[in-house]
Amino acid sequence: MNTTYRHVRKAALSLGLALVLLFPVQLFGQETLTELLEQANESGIEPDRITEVQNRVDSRGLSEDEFMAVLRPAIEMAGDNLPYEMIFEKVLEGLSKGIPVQRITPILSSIRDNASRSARLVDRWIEKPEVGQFVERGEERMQQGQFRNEMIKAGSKAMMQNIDEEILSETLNSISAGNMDRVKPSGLLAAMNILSDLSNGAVAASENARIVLKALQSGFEAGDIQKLPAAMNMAQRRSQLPAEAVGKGLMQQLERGLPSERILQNMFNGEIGGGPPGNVPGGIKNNRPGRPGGN
Amino acid sequence: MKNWVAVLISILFIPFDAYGQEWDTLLLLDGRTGYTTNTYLNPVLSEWNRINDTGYGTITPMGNIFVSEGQLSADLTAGGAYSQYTDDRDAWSTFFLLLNANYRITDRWGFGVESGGSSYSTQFDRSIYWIQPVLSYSPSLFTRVYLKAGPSFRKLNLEDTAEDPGYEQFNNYSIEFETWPTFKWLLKAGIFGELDNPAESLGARISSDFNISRNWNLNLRTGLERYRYQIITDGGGGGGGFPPVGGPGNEEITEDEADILFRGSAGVKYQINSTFEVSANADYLNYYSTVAEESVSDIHASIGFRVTLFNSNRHTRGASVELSQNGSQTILLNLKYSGDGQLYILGDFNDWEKPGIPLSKQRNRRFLAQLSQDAGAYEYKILLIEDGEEKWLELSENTYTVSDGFGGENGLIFID
Repeated sequence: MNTTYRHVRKAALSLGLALVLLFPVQLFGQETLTELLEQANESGIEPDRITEVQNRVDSRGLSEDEFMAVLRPAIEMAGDNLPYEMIFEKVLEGLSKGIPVQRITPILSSIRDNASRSARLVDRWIEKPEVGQFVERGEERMQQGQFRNEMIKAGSKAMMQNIDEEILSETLNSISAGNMDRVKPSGLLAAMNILSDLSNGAVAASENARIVLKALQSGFEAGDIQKLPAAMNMAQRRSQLPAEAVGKGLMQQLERGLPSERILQNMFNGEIGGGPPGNVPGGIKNNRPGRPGGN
Repeated sequence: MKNWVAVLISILFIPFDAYGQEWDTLLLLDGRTGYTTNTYLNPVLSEWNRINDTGYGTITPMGNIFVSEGQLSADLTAGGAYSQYTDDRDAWSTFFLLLNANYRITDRWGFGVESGGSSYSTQFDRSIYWIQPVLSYSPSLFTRVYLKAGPSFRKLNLEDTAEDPGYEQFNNYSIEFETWPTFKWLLKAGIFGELDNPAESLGARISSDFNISRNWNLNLRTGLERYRYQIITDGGGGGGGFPPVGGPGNEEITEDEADILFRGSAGVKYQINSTFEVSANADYLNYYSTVAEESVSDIHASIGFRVTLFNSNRHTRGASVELSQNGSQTILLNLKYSGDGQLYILGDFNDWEKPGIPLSKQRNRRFLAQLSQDAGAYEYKILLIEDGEEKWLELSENTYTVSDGFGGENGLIFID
C-alpha cells in the first residue's frame, strides 16, 4: 500500500512539476521550439528544409530564439498555402551575407504580406480558362502548382519593388487577354519582375502592360525581357525624347516583327524605332563647329 | 591655347561617376581626305577661298560627354582638327567646343542653351563663339520645333594686321523643325538669319537622313542663302563683299543687290562594326551675285572614316553577365570580369551556401558556369575569393538585378 502510494505520489509530483514548468510558457503564449517544429510539420513544410536552415543558423552561432523568429513566417505561409520557400531562401541568403537576424525578420514579414496579396491576385488570374490552357501547355517543364508558386513569388517580388497591385493585375489580365501562343512561363516571370523597372510617369501602366505583352508575344525570352528596362532607359536618355515616345517606338519595332536582339541593340543605341541615332551626339553630328544654326 | 586644350582634356577625363548622375563618354577619331575647289565647302574651315583647287587631309580627334539627371541633360563636345593641303598652303589647326544644355519642362516643352566656340590658325587666325537660348516644342511624339536666338562673335586676324581687330557681334536667329516621318528617316528643315536685319540675311536648309539598313545611312542636304545689301550707284564703293558673314555694309541706299548661295550635298555612311564607320560625301555650291550677274560653281568630294576610341556604354563598371539557356532547364552563365581571384556563383539554387559553384576561366576575361535547375526564377550573387578574402562582385548596369532587401542587389536568372 505504502509502495503504491509512494509511486502514485511520485507520479503526481512529477506531473505537477511538469505542469509547473510548462505553465508559465503557456500563460504568456510563448512556444517551445518543439511545438513550433510540430506546427511546421503539420503545415506541410519539408523537415529536410527545416534541418538545413537550423544547421545554417547553428553554424553561425545564432540562438534558438533567432531560429524560431525566422521559422514562424514560413509556418504561417505554409499554413496559408503560400510558397514558404521564399522565406527560407531569404533567410539563407541573409545568413550567407552575414546579415543579423534582427535585420532579416522585418523583410520576412514583408515577404509574407506581399506573397499573401500576390496569391489573391494570381489565384484569381490562374482560374481563367485561357491561363489554364497556357499552364497545361507548359506542364512538361513546370507543373501547375509550381507555376502558381513561381507567379506568386514574382508578384510578391514586384510588390517588394513598389509596383502597384493594380498595375500587376492589369498586366496579368492584358497578357491573358492576348495571344499567349509564343509566351513562355519564364518570359512571363521575367515580365512580372521588370514591371517596376520600366519607365513610369508619362507612360501609363496600361502602356507598360502592352509593351510587356507585345514583347512576350514577339518571342522575347526571359533574358531579352530582362534587358528591356535598361534598353528603354538608355534610349530615353540618348534620344532625349519623352518616355512615352520611347515606349511607342519600341511598340512599333515589336509590331514590325524585328528580332529581339536587334530591337534591344536599337534601343541601347537610342534609336527609337529607327529614329534619332543615339551613338552620335548632336554636337558632333552637326559637323560644323563654329557655325551656329548649321544642320 | 595649350592651357585651354589641357583644361578640355581634363574635363573629358574627370571621374564623373562620383557625382551620381548618369554620364556617357565618347571619344572619336575622324579622318577625312578630299578635294575641293572652295574651302567654304570644307565642313570645319568654312571660309571662302577659291583661289586654288586643292586636295586636303584632315584628322579630327574629339570627345563628347552626355549627362542627364531627371529632366535636365547636357552635352559637351570638344576636339581639335589638323589639316594638311596638297598645295603649298600652310597646314592649319582648329580647336572647338560645343556645350548644349536642355531642361524638359513638360513632355512637350523644353528650354535650354546652345553655346560653343572655335578657333583656328593658318595664314590668318579666326575665332568665333556664340550662345543661343533654345526653346523647343514637340507637337507630336516624333516632331520637334526649335526657336533659337542669340549673339555670335567673330574675330578675323589676318597675318599682316598689326593691331587686334576685335570681335564683331552678330545677332542670329533660327527656327528649326525636325521630324521622323517614318521610323527610317529623319527630316530637318530650318530658316535662319540675322535679328538686326531680318530681311537682308535669310537662309533656309533642308536635310534628310535615311537609315537604309542597320549599316547603311544616306543623307541629303540642300540649302539656299541670300545676303541682301545696297550699293551706291553714284560711284561709291559696294558694301557687300564676300564671304557673307556679317551681311552688307551700311552705305546709303541706292540699289538693292544680293549674294545668293545654293548648295546641295549627298553622303553615304557604312557602319562596319560598332567601332568603325566609313563615309563618302559630295557637295555642290553655286554662288550668284546680282551685281556681277554671274554665277560660279564649286564642288567638294571626300571620303572619311570614324573610329570610336572609347564608348562608356560599352565599358560599364562591374561584372557583366550574359545568360543563355543551353538546352532544357540548363543555363549557361557567361561573365566578363577583369581581375584576379576565383569566382563562384551562389544563390537560391544552392541555398546560398558558400563558396558556391566555381566559374571556369576562359579566354578574354570570360568566366563560365552551367546551372541545371527546375524551371523558375533564382536570385544569385557572384563571390570573389582572392588571397583568402571574400568579396561580393558588383554586377554591371547591363546585368539585370533586383534589390535584395538588405541594401544590396542580386542578379536574377530565369530557367525554362
